[in-house]
Amino acid sequence: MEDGEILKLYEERSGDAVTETDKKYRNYCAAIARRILGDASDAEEAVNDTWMKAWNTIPPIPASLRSYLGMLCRGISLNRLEKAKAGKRSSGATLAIDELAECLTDGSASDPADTVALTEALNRFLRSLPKKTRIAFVERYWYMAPVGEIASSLGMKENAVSMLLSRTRKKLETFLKEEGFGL
Amino acid sequence: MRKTDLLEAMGRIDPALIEEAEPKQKKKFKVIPWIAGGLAAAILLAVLPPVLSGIGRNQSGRYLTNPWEMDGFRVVTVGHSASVEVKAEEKRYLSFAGDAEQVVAETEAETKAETDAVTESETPAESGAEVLSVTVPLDASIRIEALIADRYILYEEGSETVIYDLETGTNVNLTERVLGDDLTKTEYFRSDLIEHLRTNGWFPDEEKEPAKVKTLHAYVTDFLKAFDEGRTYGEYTGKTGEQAELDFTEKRKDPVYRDKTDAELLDLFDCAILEWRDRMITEMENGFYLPAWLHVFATDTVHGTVIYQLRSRAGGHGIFRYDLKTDSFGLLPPDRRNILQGTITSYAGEPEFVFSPDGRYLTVSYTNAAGISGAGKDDPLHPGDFVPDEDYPLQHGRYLGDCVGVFDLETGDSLCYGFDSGDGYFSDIAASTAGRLSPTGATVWYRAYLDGKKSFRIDPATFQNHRGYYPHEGDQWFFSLKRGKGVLLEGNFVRFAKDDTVVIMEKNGEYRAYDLIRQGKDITDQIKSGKTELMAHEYYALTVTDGVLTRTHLFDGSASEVILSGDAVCLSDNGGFAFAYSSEKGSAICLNVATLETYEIAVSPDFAAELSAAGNVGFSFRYLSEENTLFLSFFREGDDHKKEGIDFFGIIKDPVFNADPVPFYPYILPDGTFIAPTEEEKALLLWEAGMRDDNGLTEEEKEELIREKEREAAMNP
Repeated sequence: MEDGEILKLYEERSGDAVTETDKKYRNYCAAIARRILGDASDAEEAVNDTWMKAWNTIPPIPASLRSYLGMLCRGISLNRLEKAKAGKRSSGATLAIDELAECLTDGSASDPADTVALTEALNRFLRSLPKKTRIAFVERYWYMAPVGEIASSLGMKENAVSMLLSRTRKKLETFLKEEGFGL
Repeated sequence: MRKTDLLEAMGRIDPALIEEAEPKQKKKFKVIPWIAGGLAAAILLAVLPPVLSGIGRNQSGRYLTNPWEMDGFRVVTVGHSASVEVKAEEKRYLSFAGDAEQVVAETEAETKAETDAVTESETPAESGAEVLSVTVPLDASIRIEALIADRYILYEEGSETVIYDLETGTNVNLTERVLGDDLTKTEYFRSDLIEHLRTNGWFPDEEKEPAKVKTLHAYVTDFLKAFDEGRTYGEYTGKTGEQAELDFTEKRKDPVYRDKTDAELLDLFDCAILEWRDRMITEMENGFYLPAWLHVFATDTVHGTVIYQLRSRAGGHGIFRYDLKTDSFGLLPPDRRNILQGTITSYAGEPEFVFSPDGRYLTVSYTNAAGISGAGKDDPLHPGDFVPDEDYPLQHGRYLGDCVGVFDLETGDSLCYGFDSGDGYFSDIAASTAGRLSPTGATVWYRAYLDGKKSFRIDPATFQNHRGYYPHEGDQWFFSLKRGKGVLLEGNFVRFAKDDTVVIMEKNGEYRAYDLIRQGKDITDQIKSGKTELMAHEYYALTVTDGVLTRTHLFDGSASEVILSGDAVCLSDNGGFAFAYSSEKGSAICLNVATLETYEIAVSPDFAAELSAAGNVGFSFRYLSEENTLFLSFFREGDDHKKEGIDFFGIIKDPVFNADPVPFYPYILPDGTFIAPTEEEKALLLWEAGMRDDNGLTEEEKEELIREKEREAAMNP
């Protein structure tokens, strides 16, 4: 079923909306959740939570259903990961999160408007990167993919990917400082 | 700001950036290093395309690749791993794009969109699919018969059947195991006994028996139990003599008991046992009886079942099944219509055995020649100028049409469908109704004479008969599908493709492809556009004229010509290969029709020497894809099969129908090994055929032979 038709079901509050979403996007969301949580049963629960959240938050209609669901799933999975970390459980995603956190100096609680500005800054930063670097960065810090998998998909060696990511993080750190974040 | 804010912001980046970086589904290439058992190292698929030639594919997508390479054969799996059971309905198809650079796997269930997506990929798209290849060096003298359950290779080595386990690298010699001492003394005897009791009607129906008397069934069971416990026959008869429960007065009315009292039945049973015991003793003490013999005639390559016939040294026959997965043997239930036994042990054309997709039914298509032996020479029904060949060696008798028999391997129930033969002449076979199972058993197909008469449709899944009217007039082909449905197609049948799910027909010079799964939908345009792909060789029509092979693309009309210089040329039955033999070079050429690659098959010096000694010989080839064997027969030019005094290199006399001698075909193996009868064998064969006075034996041997024949005659009056 096309995304437009599924979104129409959401608008009509039809129960089929979730069924069709599950049919079309389960694999996609499960892959995201698995990368972050590292556990199939946790990922399964995260995906189910994603459907619940989608049901509660649509409408309004998102620009891209796929990305929206991915974003929801990612957020839910990261929250679950946070809880799992409290329980001394971790996954490959923990490492990615820590890596990314290096780019920003910890400060005080922020205004939601700052987060929006930060997102826009990130978009600008990512668009300024070469395509390969951008894909590697998003794969790593959005999809939480392991370095090995990124290397395989880009046809690079793992060391080269690690180096690329490290340099990009440094660039991001500089960029964010220049943009006035993390001060 | 907090560090976690960055994580949150990252989660909200532009969706376009997210989609751009979405990880693609990866294909796993798993190469299994076959180290144990002397296996050579695995090789990557990347080096395989030239040899991915489609020989011997089994139903789950494994290939035996070019057999003519001298270092052994290769097995390539695309799709499921060998450890995963592959159901017939999940079987995968392989297609090779024109240049064989692209391997595509697809399933029936895939939607068009998915199929398109798969077509674009370079490797099997399903996650977890494995592509592995292995080169297995084996003695080149073997004949590969089948690849079973994606794991075992069944091959003939000399006269023995051997099963090679690709995963463990071990061999099981089935012949040795079945005919070996252990089995001969226990399982084999027991199987033979059961068969003997069954064929003599000593297995009454348990349900029909009155409970108050000692039942015959229990009686037989007791005997078998005593047999299994190793008690002697004397001990057993002493025990049965005490059977007070037996009713000695009342005659059993059920036909199965032959209207006799239990006491009379006891006598008859004892006689039957004695008969069997005597036969077994004779067999054990043998010296001149037939050699015990095992013949595999059907293999379910999906479910891992081997059906074989066992002939004891006393001449008894039995049909058994061997289940590779459970490593168990068992006698098949009695074949009441004699469909299997009849097609194996008597002449019935070339019976073709096909398993139903679920492995429960064994079907056989064969020529019904029931009247053959009775008709004899004086009543030939075929035209006088009929010349037998490899396909139709029979010369005399009544041709009764083609049949499809179905045998239920679990219950022994069977069905037999005959297809009217028209006027019954061999020469009309091509034009008459030919009921056939397609190679994978996916459809039963036959020519329909559409005159509005009632006819039947066979459901290939259940083999039930559905009555129906042919809706059209004219000469069409009918392809039976599940639940009594079917597809009627006009034109001339050209070939099945894609594991029988596609059929290609020709009408007025135009070739059209029809999808049988989709009720005969015309998919010619899909094939032309590349959305649906066939096996590479399935795109071509082949003709051979004066040594020139013309390969015409069925759908775009483009043609290529290949000059096959040689003394004999033949095509493989699946159209994937062409062969040419050159006596001058002493070698044969194997041409891959799809890729136009050639392989040279060296012929041994012995073979060349035989040819040069014979001189002025003609050749004929026959390649059997299933058996992976190239037969090369040769004979003096100008000889007529029907004339006496011919001098083939070997002659056999048809043992069943006492027909005129037909040529014995020596054959060469892939490595060029020439298998020919010895001088003694040749002399003996000619002598037995009444074509030579001297049988080539010494006086002493002649006398021994005569004595042996006399003994045999005395034993089998």
